[in-house]
Amino acid sequence: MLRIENITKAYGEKKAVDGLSLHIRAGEIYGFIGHNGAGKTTTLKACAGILGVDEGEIFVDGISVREQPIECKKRMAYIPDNPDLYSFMTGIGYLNFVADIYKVTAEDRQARIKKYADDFGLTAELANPVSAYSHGMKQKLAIIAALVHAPKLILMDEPFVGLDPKAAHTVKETMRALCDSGCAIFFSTHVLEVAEKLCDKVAIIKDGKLIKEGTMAEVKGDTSLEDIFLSLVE
Amino acid sequence: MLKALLKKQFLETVSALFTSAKTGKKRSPIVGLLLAVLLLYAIGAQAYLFFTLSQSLCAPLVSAGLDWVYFALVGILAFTIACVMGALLSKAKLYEAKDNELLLAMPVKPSAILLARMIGLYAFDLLFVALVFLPAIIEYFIVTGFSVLPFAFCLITTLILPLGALALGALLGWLIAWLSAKLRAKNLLTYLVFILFFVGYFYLTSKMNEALSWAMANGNAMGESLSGVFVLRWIGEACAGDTLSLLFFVLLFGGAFALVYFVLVKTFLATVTMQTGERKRAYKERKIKRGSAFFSLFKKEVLRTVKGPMVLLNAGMGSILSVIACVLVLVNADLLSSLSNAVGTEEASVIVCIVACFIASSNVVTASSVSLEGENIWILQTAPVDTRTVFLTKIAWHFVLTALPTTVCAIIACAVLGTPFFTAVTVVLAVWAVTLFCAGLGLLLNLKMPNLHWTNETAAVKQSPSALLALFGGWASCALLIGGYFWLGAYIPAWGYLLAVTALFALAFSLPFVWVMKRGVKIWETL
Repeated sequence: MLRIENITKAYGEKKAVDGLSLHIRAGEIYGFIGHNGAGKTTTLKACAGILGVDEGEIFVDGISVREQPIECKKRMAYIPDNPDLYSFMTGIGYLNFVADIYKVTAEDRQARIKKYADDFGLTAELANPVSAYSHGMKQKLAIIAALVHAPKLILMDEPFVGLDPKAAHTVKETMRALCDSGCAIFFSTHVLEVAEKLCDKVAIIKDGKLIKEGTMAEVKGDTSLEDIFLSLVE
Repeated sequence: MLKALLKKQFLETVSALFTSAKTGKKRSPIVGLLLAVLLLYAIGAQAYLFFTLSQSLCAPLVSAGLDWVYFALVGILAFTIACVMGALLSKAKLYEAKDNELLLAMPVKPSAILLARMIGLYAFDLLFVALVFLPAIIEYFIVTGFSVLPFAFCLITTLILPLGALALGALLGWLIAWLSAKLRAKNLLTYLVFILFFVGYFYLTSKMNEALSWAMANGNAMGESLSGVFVLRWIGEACAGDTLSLLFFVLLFGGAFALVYFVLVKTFLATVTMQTGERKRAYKERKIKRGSAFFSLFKKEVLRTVKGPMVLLNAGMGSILSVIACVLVLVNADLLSSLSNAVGTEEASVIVCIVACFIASSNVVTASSVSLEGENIWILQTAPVDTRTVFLTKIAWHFVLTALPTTVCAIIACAVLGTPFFTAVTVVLAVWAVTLFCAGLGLLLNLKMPNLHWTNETAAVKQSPSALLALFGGWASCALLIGGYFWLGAYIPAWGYLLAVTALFALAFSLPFVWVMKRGVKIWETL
C-alpha cells in the first residue's frame, strides 16, 4: 500500500532522511520509532505529500506521490502530531468540510460520522466550535475526519498524544479493525509499549537512516522493544 | 525580565516586515527598501496632511494671541486618533496573544507581561500622536520663531499625550475583552464596538473641518468655550511654554496611566484566563448535505473572514467603506447632483467609478489569505484538491466580498446621477476588473511573503507586508485611472474610457493570475 523507495530529504546541509526504504502492506499496522529529530515526521509528511523529497520515490497503492499527488491523497489520510484544525468551524462543520473535499456521499458520511463520533464520545460536542475544544477533543476530531472517507492508508504522527486512556484504547481498537478490513496504517510513536503490543511491523530510524526493520518478533527477539531501541540508538 | 519581554514584543511587531516567516532569514534588501519607502510614504502623506491643517490654523490663532487654543485643538485631534487606533488594538494585543499561556507558565510577573504589551501599544499611540503633533509643532515655530522652552515642552507633551490615549484605549480594550468573555455573541459585540467607533470617527472628522473653520473665524469664542475644559487648557498652555500647566498635564496623564495600569494588573490574570461565555450546544443529528469541494473551500474562506471580526475589519475595510458610502450617497444625493451639474453626468460617473475603485482596492482579503492558513495549512496540503482550486476560492471570495457592496454603491450613485444605462454598465465592469486585479495581486504578494507563524491573526493581516503592498499597489493603480482620464477624457466618451479601463485591468489581472496558477502552486506546496 505504501512503498518508500530510497528517499532522501535534506534541510540545508543536514539530511533529515537519508536513503530510507520501507514497504507497508495492506492490513499492516506499521510502527515507526526513533528519537526526537530522527526524521519520523519528515518521512510522514513526505508520504502525505506535504514535503517533497530530494531523492527517491514514494508510492501509494502503486501511484507515485510526486507524479500524481491528488490521486494518492484520495487514498490516504494524515493526522499530524498537533492537529491545528479550523477553529472558526464547528466540529460537524469541519467533518462535513473534509467529507466534501474527499467527495464522500451524504449517506456514507452520515453513517461514518455517527459511528466514529459515538466511538470516541464526541457526538455531543459536534455542534460546538473547534475553538472551544480541548487538545484531546481536537485529536479525536482529527482522527474522525481522517476516517470519514474510509482511506486505504492512514499516516499518523504520534496519535496517542493528548488522548485520555479510553480514547487511546478506542484508537487502538479502531486501528486494528481498520487493518483487519484491509487498510494500512503507518504511524510514529514514542510509546514503545503501545508499539510493541499494536504493531505488526516496526522500523527504527536514527539520524534519518533506517537501522532496524521487520516484524515485531524479528526486531525485538526475546527482549523488549524498549531494550532493543535503546541499544540501537545509543 | 522586562527587557526580554520588550525584545520579544519588538521582534513580533517587526519580524513580518523584515524577516521571512518561512525561512527565518532576513528579506532581500530590495524588498526591505521597498517596504521602507512605502512606510515612509504613508507616514509622510499623513504628516503632510496634518501639516497643511496646522498651516490653516496656526497663523490666525497665534496672531490673536491664542497659541494655547491652537495646541488644544491639535491635542484633541491627536488624542482622538491615538485613542481610536489604540482601542482597536488593545484587546487583541493585551489579552488575546497566543503566547499568554506560555508566558504565564514562566516565572514572569503578570505585571511585567502587561507592561511590556502596554509599552508596545504606547509605541503605536506615540506614532499616531507624533503624526499630528510634530507637523503642528514645526508650523508653530515657523510662525513664531524658535524658542527652546516651548519646544522642549511641546516634545514632552508629545511623549505624554499617548499615555492618556493608552490609558483610555486599554480600559476600553479590557471592557471589550471582559464583555466578549461574558457575552455569547462576542463577534457581534466586536463588530458593534468597531462600527460605533467608526461612525464616531467619521462624525468627528466630518465635523472637524466645520469646527476648525469656526475656530479660525472665532478664535476668542473658541478660547472661551475651551478654557473651561482644564485638560485642554493645560495641554495648550503647556505647549505654549507654561510650566505649571505642563506639570498638571503630566501629573494627570501620567496618573491616569498609572491608575489604569494598576487596575489592569489586578485583573490581568483573571481576564486572560476568563472562561468564554459561549453556550455549549448539544449536537442533534440531522440529515447531512453534500457539497462540492469548491463550494466547501469557498465557505471556509467566508467563515474564516466573518468569524474573525478583526480579519474582516482589517482585510475587508473596503467593504465596510462601501456600505458607509452607500449611506452617504443616499444622504448626500444633492451633492452628487451638483457634481453632475458642474462637470456633466458622464464625467461625474467616471469620478464615481474611480472612487468605487479606490474603495474596492482597500480590501486586502487575498493579500492575507495564505498567511491566515497559519498552522492549519496542512489540512489543504494533504487534501486531494488541486491547489489552483484553493487559489480560485480565495480570489472568488475576495471578489464577492468586495464587488458586491461596491457594485451596489456604484449603482446607487449612478442612479442618483442619472447615468445613461450603458455608461453605468461600464462603471460596474471597471469596478469588477479593478477588484479582480487587486485580488490577483494580493494573492501573488502573499504567496511571495507569507507569514504562517503568527501569535494573533491580526498580525497576519495588519503587520503583513503583502497586505501593505497590495493596498498601496491597488491605490496606485486606481490613481492611474485619474491620470488616464485627464489624458484621454477629451478624446473618448466616458463609457469608452471605462471599457478601456475594464480591458486593461482584466489584462493586468491575467499577469498575477497566471503567475499564481503556475509558480504560486509550487510555492504553496513548499510552505
